[in-house]
Amino acid sequence: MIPRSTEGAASILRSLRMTALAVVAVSGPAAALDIALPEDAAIVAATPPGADTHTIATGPWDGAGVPTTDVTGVLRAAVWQVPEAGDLAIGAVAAGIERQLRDQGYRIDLSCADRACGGFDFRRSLDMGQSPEMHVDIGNFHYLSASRETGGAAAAITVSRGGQTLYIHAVQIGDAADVADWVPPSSRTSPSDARAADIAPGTPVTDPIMRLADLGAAPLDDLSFRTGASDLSGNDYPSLVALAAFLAENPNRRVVLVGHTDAQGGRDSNIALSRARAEAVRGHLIEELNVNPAQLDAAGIGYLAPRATNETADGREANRRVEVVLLNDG
Amino acid sequence: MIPRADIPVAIRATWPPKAVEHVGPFVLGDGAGGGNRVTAAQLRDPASDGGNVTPDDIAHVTERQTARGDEPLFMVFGWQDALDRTLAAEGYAIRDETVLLAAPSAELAQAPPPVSCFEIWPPLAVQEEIWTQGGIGRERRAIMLRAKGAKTSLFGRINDRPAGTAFIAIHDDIAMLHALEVTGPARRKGLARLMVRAGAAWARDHGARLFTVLVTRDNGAAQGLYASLGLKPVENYHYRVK
Repeated sequence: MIPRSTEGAASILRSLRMTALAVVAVSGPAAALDIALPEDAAIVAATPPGADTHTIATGPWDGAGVPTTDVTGVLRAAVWQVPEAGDLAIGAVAAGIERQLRDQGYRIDLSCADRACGGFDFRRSLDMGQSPEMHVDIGNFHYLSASRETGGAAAAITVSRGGQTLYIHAVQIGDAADVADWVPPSSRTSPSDARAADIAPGTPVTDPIMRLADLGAAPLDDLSFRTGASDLSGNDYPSLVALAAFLAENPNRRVVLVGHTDAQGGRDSNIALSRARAEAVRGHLIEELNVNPAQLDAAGIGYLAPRATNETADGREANRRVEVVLLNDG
Repeated sequence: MIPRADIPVAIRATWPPKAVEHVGPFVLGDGAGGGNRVTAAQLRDPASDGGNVTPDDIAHVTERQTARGDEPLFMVFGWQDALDRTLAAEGYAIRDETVLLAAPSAELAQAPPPVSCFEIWPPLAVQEEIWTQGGIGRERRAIMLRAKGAKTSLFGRINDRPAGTAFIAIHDDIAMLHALEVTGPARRKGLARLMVRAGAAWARDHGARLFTVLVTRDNGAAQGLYASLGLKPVENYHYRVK
């Protein structure tokens, strides 16, 4: 379900794929799965093709377990690191990979981020690559699983971050011909291209907007605020672009941006700060992304609705967020 | 003190190969000329004793190492005795018995006297000269650049002259000191000792519970220094080579 207006992004991606395929053509026939990654991504661990079984998640942690499927075939895996990832967001990288998978005929079986996947319980149920080459921050990762009818091929990809380093783990299982030429390490796109693709007008609505439509509320997890500050740092936020596109396409829908803080400091000052953060997001949507102000409201509730423990740094970071809540039509 | 399985991971995180490849039950390093520690093959499951390893698995690794122009080389940790026996039976000889020494960072930590030791990242050109003189060339310095997470170099001075350099990186709560080098004329003046203590203070301040270092068993001078500072042997490894 790609809206009409994705033409721009789609044509950028086509050119990226042609670049990638040109590289593959040197070593053999076109690859079954060929993901283009940011330019600085360096391959740091590789598992060459071999018969194996891999457990792939098909749903998030449901309180008792993670729904999975075991896929057996020729397995190939790799880990990449992007050393100085700057403001390259996990969500943006995952969205780029997700789009490439769809373009190559894969169906996305699961696409989720940290707590929505099930956090720690999800992480420990699956093989997402080995430390120290791979690093999965349980409060900050994105997991994708995908499958394709032909050849029984399946893939699982995890994107996470530690400090300035972005980590990507990818596994593909299929028949031998499927995996033979997978992932030439040199098939890369420049970070600026990857970002351009992600913020191009009409970018396919990704995770937060799907959740908004499904659940009526979604966290905007790619926003970053300086500690104790309300201004958005940077301006490269795929979730806001997606939200702006959603509101433009649905002029009758209204949303409330709700700011949340961690539990450090007093209640009133935190409510004021959370409201200021929500207002900053509203301002960005109106001024930078031309959203109709009448469709946007902003509110702050401080630390009163945590989604993680305030006892750890990861938990506090997860609690500092802005969520978007969809109001009823009318 | 340290869960066994964390040791190979901490070594590889603080002194990383350029890339690794999984070959059967082994992880094989692309050391890019950085020496045995980043090139040797080690067990993929670090907690295992290697009881499941077959001569064929070993042959697959050495095939790959030979194709790369590396010598057949394995890194065997103290608890991996089954792997060690299999390699011995295949005709591999022991090289460089090495001990991991450790102490709590907070116990070891001591701020250095004024202008005797500095934390600097990236290292200064004069530190690179000291490393080069000590046999730590460009390829090993590239390893320091690759390490992720908290890291620093230590720059030591004696009588207002550059005299020592070292590298420390942290993985989880383990800090590991690498490439400590003191210039010839500056030795036996206590510089290494105060650099280690200053390094432990940096490690403590960056969240590392333990301060560790790898020393070959026959390096008597270094073993004596660390023992006198209170670092204790925790685990050991050696290489098996053909």
